[in-house]
Amino acid sequence: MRRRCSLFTETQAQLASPRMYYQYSPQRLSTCPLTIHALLHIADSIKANGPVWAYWAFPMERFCGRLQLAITSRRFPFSSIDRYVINSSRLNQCKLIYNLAHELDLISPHSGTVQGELRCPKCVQFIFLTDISTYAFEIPHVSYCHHIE
Amino acid sequence: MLCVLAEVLSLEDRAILRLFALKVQSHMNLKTFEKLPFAFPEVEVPTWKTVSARAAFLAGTKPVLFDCCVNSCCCYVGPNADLTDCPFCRSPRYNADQKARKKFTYVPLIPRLVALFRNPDIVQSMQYRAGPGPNNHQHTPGMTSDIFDGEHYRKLLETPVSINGRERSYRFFSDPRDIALGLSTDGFAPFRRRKSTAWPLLIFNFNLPPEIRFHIKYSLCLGVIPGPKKPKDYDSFSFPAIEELLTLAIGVRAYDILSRSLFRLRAYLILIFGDIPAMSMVMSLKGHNGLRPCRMCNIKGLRVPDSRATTHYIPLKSPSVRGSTTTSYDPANLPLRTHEEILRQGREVDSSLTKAEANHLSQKYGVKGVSAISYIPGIQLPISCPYDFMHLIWENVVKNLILLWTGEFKGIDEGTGSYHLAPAVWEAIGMATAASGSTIPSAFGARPPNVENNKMACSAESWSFWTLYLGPVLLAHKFQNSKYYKHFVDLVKLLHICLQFNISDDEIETLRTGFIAWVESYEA
Repeated sequence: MRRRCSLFTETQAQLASPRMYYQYSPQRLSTCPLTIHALLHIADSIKANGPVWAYWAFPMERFCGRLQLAITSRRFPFSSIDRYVINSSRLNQCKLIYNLAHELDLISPHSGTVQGELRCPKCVQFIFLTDISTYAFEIPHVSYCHHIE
Repeated sequence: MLCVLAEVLSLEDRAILRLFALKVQSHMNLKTFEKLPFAFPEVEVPTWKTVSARAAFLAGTKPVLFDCCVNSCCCYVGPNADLTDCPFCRSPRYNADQKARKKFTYVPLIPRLVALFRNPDIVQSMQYRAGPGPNNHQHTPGMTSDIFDGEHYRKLLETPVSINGRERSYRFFSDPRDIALGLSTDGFAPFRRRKSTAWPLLIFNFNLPPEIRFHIKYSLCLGVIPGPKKPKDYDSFSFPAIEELLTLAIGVRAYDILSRSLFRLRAYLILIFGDIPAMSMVMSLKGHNGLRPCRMCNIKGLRVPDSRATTHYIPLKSPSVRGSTTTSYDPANLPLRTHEEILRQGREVDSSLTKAEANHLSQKYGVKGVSAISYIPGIQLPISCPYDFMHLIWENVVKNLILLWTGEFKGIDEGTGSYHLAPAVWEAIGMATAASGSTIPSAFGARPPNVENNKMACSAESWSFWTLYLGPVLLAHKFQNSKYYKHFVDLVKLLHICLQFNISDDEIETLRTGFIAWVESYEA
């Protein structure tokens, strides 16, 4: 009887304020994997090693994407990868030693202008694009940068 | 070396290098390359054999091939050099012709770092770390904007380099040309439907300014540990890299084209990063499912009772079960691991007499042995191996929250909570996400996919955009109880601070207290 009473009060309390995710229940332990705990170490990591972008995996994933393209053989994928790694290191080495970076990129150097561009002498790092013909609705003369009248 | 410098490349050699660049950059296969002479009959196109041989000669770098186990358990190098059978899987090293059955290709790092100083533009931009001028990095106390504001790097600046216990006469990064390096590794699957993985070792040059630091052309791949399996002895594959890194800490001769003089080039590895399984492998740790899963602290894991799963979970507070005492950790004061402790535990495991004892100890500590990277001066375990934000947040925390909301998280129900979103609500959010792409400028990133039904298209980047910009709008008033929404928005606010270009010390404290409060209320 007593027990039932305590159970009842507990549900009452829970109704008043629903619990979050783990609820200190043994059956719900799996809501607390390492990745939730690791959040507690982020501040320390930033303090020790700087912002998170300095050591996140985006560049690595990008590199892996590049390696994927290098696989030309289904039978010997790892030889394809090795060959690509060696050749691209040689190519980079040649670019550095002989100062051929532009020539070996095999693309025309940027002409420097973009069609329909608008430049503001005070915001040199930006090129404003004024070509808004693709929009279905009409935009009145918009000044993208407060320096441009 | 100096005579090569004076040499100006002939027109023929430049033509050959352009051909080489064409084939390598466009991943052209040999068959296509062999068609070139027929497509351009008026010019003489050399054969690939000639081209690659000439490029190899001009580049001057030679890859080093090491024998490795056919199942990629270990590499036959250093202490393993004379083995004829794999110590792990017992498969023989050689085939009947006495040739190695598999090889690991290693592309040496030193010649490539030396070559960086032959290019005036690169030398100029590599002054970012310590050079003068407003374009280079300037440390402002109390502000964090790059790795060079981190306590680890700042402390190294005042520390003499010590190699294998012998202290040298110079300090870390005492020459502005000294290079700060970062190593990244990750398992990637060459084929979508097969389990085989390869493990690239990638070096990043932190002296370069952040805008170009992570460009593929500036990252240096040391080699790719071949699959099909995860290496059992990772340290044997990184052995040649570690040898080179130790040499670089002592210094190698290089020619600086800007000052036109020879100098002693030094480079220090100060950061190692990758996802959690990759880092466990690099640091010789048991892994994220073990009894001590965290690489930063000694928090003890708990298993789900009455379950056969061996995964350990690490709530701050153990579950409240009647009749048992609960243990709890203070999130502001976690039992952090230290470099010395990890080394001591590793040595203890390595020197245990029986296999059973080694297993017992490694389970107890979460450390499988002394990792080879701990010998590199400049590496301070575990802080030099920080958690990777991309996998942590975009691939785990956010995805798991969504699984919880949609009731798909590991088959558990809401319990006493009420955080479920009705299927129709989540479906609508997915559609609204997909529709938002039409009105978002492309500068913000790729078009967001439908997060509800197009899981294949959801990359870490799309989760990042969704969480930071779309989630807080789309989830408003969608939960039965607004506290789940508020809790999510609290996380988003913290993530925005993490991604700022400049983070002040006060903001780092906000992050510390904010994440503690967030995790504590997550568990409540």
